[in-house]
Amino acid sequence: MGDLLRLSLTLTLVGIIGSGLSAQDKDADKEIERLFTAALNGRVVIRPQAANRLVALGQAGEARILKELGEDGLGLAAMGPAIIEAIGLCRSSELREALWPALSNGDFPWRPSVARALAEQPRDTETAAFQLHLDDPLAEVRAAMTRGFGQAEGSLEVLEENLLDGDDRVRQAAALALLDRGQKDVLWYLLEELKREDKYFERPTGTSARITVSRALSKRGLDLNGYDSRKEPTTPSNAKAIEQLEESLKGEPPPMTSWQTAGGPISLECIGLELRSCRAGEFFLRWTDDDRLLVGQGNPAVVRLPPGTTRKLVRGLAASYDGLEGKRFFGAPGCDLEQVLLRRTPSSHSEALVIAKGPALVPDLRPTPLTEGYAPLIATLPDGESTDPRLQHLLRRVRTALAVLGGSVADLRR
Amino acid sequence: MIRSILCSVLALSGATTELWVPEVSTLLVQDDDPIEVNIDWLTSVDYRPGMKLPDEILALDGKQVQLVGYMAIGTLEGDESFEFVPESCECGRSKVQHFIDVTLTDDVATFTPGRITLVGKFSVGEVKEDGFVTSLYRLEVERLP
Repeated sequence: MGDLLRLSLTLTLVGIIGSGLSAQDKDADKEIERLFTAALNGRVVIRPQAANRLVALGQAGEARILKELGEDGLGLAAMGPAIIEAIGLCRSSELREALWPALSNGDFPWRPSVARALAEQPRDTETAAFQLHLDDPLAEVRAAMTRGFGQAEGSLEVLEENLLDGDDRVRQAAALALLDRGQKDVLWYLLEELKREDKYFERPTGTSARITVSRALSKRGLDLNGYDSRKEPTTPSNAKAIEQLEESLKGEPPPMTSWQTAGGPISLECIGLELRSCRAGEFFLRWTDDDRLLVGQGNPAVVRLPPGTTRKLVRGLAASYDGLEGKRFFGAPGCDLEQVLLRRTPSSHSEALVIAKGPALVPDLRPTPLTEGYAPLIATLPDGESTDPRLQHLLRRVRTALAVLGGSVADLRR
Repeated sequence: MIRSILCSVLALSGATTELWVPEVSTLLVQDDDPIEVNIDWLTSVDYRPGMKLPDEILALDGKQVQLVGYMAIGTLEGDESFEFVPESCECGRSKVQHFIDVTLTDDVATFTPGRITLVGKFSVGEVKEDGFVTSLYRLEVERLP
């Protein structure tokens, strides 16, 4: 009788513990599902937080992402940038291995996110893979690959070549990677970033660069002698700080190309065309009242145009604007963007117009008057070989970007 | 205001040498003068949920602040709030520290694609919904410029 009682009690206890564990498992599964759904479809602002918390759960969280990835890895694009970036924090090799083919696929919609994920915790075995993408058409990808390549002990010579990139984010990434590897001389290049005063129309691009670089240097423990990135570099305290930093470097500054040196203020901008494509790269084009075409940010490349060109372009684009009946936004938020800025006179405030979309093609997104207005602008772009990476085959690269953004633009040169 | 008075006095006095005029935030600021805050500096801070923000940012809580930036693409017409960002593109910046949550007290949003200046009461600190931080910086503005 006593044995029977003991057996019954034991069985009851096992049942209770079993049901308790099962409830815990159910709660954990529910939490994983809640986080996954929030990372996938929640408000944009909570997606990165949900994705990070999901992978922080370890194997169980990573397994949920793997399930969605599928055996062929085709589920990656549908998971979106927040989950993709969180994969960079995962221990799972299977998840990480799914990122490299996505990066190599030029049509994959979230390649900058993939690149940032891969650069988060680079592995020594991936040096060659990082190097393979150092000439990617997207600057965000090149910058992340440069960071990853540097941390994965990639060659210093290759990193030095990236100091010549046409995009400031890539040059900064290369200089910081070299600094982290003990190459103190690259501070000369970073000091140029601290001297920047450039703007893209009203947008203070120089200030943004100064803030980014000074934060990166402070994070590395460098004493900036009271330099304040929010103030112009010519203010007495900043000028003195820069002078002291230069004096602390031994020897002469290395020879630099024009685009490696600090950009100053730009005047007389009349038309701006900013193209940001998640597939075809970014372009910053400006036409000034004194007939210069400026290409890039910072210290831009300058192309002289025939006298009277810009005024004619302004009249044409103004007519395009007027044909839009006051509408200044077309499309929906996404990674693809065309932003046009127009100053009808050099002293007036710029009128902005934005076209935006996600990675999918949207036929006839750009209104016809604007597509017609673009054609004479694009006809002024050079298309030859150039030692300046920003001008190299510029026209054909811009045409490709326009085609995947708002749609193709007629070639007036034919 | 103090800065503009200082500039006017110098102009009237015939000062010809190039003079550096400090940012408004470094002068003695009257109560009604908004503090100019750089939106790039504010939104590029290193932040993780639960982390303490730098004292210089925390000190702005409750102050009248002036910010220059862009309405986020995707701002809904007729809404009483919108996200204010340093660049008009999304540019892979979708985290909670990357925008200022603007509330209009006497207006509704109409998407403006250009750069705009806003002045209002600033507040700093995590606001959470369902355990997630949904805003870090907020600005209460009467109406759009």
